[in-house]
Amino acid sequence: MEGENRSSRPDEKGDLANLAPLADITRTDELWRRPNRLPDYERENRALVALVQALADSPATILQTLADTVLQLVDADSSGLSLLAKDGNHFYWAAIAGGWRPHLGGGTPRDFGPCNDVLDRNAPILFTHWERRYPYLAEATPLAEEGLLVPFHVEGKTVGTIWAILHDERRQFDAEDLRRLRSLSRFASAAYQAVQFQHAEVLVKELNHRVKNTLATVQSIAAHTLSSVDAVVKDRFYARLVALSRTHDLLALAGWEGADLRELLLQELEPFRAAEAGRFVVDGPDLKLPPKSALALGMAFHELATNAAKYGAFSTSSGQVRARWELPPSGRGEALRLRWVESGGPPVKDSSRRGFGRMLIETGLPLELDGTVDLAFAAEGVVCTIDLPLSTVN
Amino acid sequence: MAEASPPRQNLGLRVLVVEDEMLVALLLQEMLAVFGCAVVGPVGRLQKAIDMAKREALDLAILDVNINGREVYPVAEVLAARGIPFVFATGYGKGGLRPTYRDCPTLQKPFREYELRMAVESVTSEKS
Repeated sequence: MEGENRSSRPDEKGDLANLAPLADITRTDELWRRPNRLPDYERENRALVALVQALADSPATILQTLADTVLQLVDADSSGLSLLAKDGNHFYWAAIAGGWRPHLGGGTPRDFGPCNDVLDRNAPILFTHWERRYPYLAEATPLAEEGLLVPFHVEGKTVGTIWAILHDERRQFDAEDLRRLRSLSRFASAAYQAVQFQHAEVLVKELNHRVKNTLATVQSIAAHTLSSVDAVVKDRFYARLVALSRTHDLLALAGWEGADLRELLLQELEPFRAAEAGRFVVDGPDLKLPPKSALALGMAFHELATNAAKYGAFSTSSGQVRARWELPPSGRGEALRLRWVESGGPPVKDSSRRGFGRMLIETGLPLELDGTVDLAFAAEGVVCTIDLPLSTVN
Repeated sequence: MAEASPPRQNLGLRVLVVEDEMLVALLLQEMLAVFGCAVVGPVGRLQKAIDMAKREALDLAILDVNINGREVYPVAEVLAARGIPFVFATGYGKGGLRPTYRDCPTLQKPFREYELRMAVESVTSEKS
């Protein structure tokens, strides 16, 4: 149908001369001269409430529900919604109710048709027998005695039209019909944006899934590339990758709004099974970390825990780690202080070795959190003090 | 490490690294050390980066385009005014750069050591 429509568009001026001028097929001014019906706000509100319900129940069919509502509320014979196609070359009928329903999916050319006229003026138009100017519309039966179109905006841009059609002369559109149509169009704009928003949520879910798979892919590439490498080294790499992936899970669960500091700590420590044994104590107020900070701290906690398991508090049966944090008293100071304190492990020797973990904690973390980090190798146990500005936390 | 590397590898430059992803910053540090370059920074906040670009003695800079949600161009302007060359590093490629900067050398993340070296050499040889 779209193809036929576009092919019947006149390409030569000669063709156009035989067609009715726009003025002959429009009678918008008449709307205000006609006796008009009285508004029925109660009915209108009920229709809008039903529309909201439909949006919540099945957002995918919201456009069709909208067309149905227009049909009902404007008492039209056909109604629908035309949207500018992504290629920008034509309008397609995205939803239709009433007599024109079989034409669903059809449309009109971008620059030669009623939709184009409405977009050009960015104002409503009342048409009558538009096939006299746009011959391709003669195929869209039953013919339109009157067609009332209003612009449809999304985020300030006109992206199509909402329309109502009367197929005979039993009734004529009036100013009240225009008011109702406009009111629905405004509502539809908001609804349409909500659907787009839902679409964005679907994309985020898909992306979460892809990122997880990419991490697994990286692991596989590493496994094959490093096949001759020491198993301990490989395992250290996998453990880091998995730790990162876990923080990712935590964030994905919260829609990437943030992650709870306590949960983050417990999750990163979970593989070390220290919490169950009462050897890992977490103490501090509820605190939500933004995604970037959570990812960085998650990696840092993993490095600290790994180090504790190899050389520190978790390397003996009695050692303990306390992670505590406190918010500064209101009005005083702007930094959150988080301390990781190990005790009960073997005596600590300050190694001058600066491995990846230490570099990540001492160089990476301050950079990422815009704070300061002090990693002290006290004899009784490692103490890591992280001061981060509240701006990084909120 | 320095003894193990052939002498021609030693570029001996002072490089400002502006990057807010800590692991990428650490990777840059690691790679630049192989070329015998000293890292200034790394710095992950725009204002700090501008301050360092103004006052540090630098041979070149590597600039991540998006620094904690802000664009790095003010740093590029300071560097350009001082005649210090810079290379952009971005996950978006050249298309993600402001049109005025599209001709600047750009590293597409993730990048390899030799790509970084080529980018560094291209801007520093222009200068001399």
